[in-house]
Amino acid sequence: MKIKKFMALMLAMVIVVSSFSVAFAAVEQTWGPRWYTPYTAKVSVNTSSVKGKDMKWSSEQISLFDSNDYWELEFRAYNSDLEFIDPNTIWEGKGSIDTNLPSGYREFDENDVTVATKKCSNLEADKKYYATQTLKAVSNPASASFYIESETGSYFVIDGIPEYYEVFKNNAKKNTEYSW
Amino acid sequence: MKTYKTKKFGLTILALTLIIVGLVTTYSYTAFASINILNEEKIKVFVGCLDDTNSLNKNLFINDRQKMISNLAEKTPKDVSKVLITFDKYVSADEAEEILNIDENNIVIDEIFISIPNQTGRAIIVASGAKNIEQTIYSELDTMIANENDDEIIQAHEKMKKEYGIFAISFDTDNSTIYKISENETVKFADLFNYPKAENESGKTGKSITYIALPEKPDGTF
Repeated sequence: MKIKKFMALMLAMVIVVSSFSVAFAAVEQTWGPRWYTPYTAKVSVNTSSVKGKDMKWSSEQISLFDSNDYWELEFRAYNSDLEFIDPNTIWEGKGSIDTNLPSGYREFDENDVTVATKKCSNLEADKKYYATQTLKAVSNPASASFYIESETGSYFVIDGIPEYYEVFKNNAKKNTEYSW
Repeated sequence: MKTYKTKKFGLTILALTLIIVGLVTTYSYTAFASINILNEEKIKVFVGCLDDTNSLNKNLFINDRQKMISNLAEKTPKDVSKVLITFDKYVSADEAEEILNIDENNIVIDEIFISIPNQTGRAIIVASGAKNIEQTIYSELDTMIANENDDEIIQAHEKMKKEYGIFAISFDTDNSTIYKISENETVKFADLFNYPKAENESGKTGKSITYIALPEKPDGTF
């Protein structure tokens, strides 16, 4: 009986710990667009900006967001050897952003350039949203193509935890507008 | 016989456990090995963010963060830190310059947070150390207008330029000055770009930290 109890306890602990670990890994999904991605949008990565515009979510989509969910439109640069490259080799650094997204923010780091909202639950159904991060090109920018991704996750006290993402385009070129 | 059955049951449970752990681990590693791996290797911290905190915790949190500022001001007054100050109302560029006293306090402004009062949305203006706040805001919005070809968005940028109010500013200066400014009656919340819990996690795991300033607006809009 003691062995049974011990085994059951161990099993429960392993399941809890394993589930916790999985929660920290974003799950890649095939392109939908999925529930967290605006059902329509125009996106572009340009010499002097990254943009999302005419982005719309339906009321059904918005109802699926929790109050601490964020959404990000990410642009990830890679070179002709298919290696990811630092956006700092293309632009001088983070740029100003103007957006009508609720609690809008942007990121610019060694991984990607992003425009985002931290308050998905406050989106309004079928409203047109825009977000533009203005950038300054370096004098000799690296040649790059881009992944354009939609990602959602949750924010817990101090840390953002990515949950799901999907890739809209994996060979986007600069100064071309793409839409879905 | 009973002991044998118990052992057999135990071994079955153990085997099942190992299978589950194996599957979960494989699934987890597959996800980590995907294109988003770099994103998951960083710790994301929202600075100045209060909107998901209930009122009791909000006050405790604000006090706790303020205590950190006063401790640093006492122990290492001349060390330079980065801080985000959120105002309790929209202020003009002149008012913000007066609160900061930029030249005398040797302040290097990083970002200026502006919004049209009572309207969802915001602009985050990169200042890169510029001292004239209004000029910096106009210059950045003018660049946005010049780069935009969508009439509706151009109009939105222009409206921002005409009607903006400043609700937060991030900057670098010494700890003593940060404490002094944080005590200004217009400052609702001062938050350092330094979260010990995240820094400890970073030290343990080797993950980098991305601090994202996300101040609360004074009119309750997002």
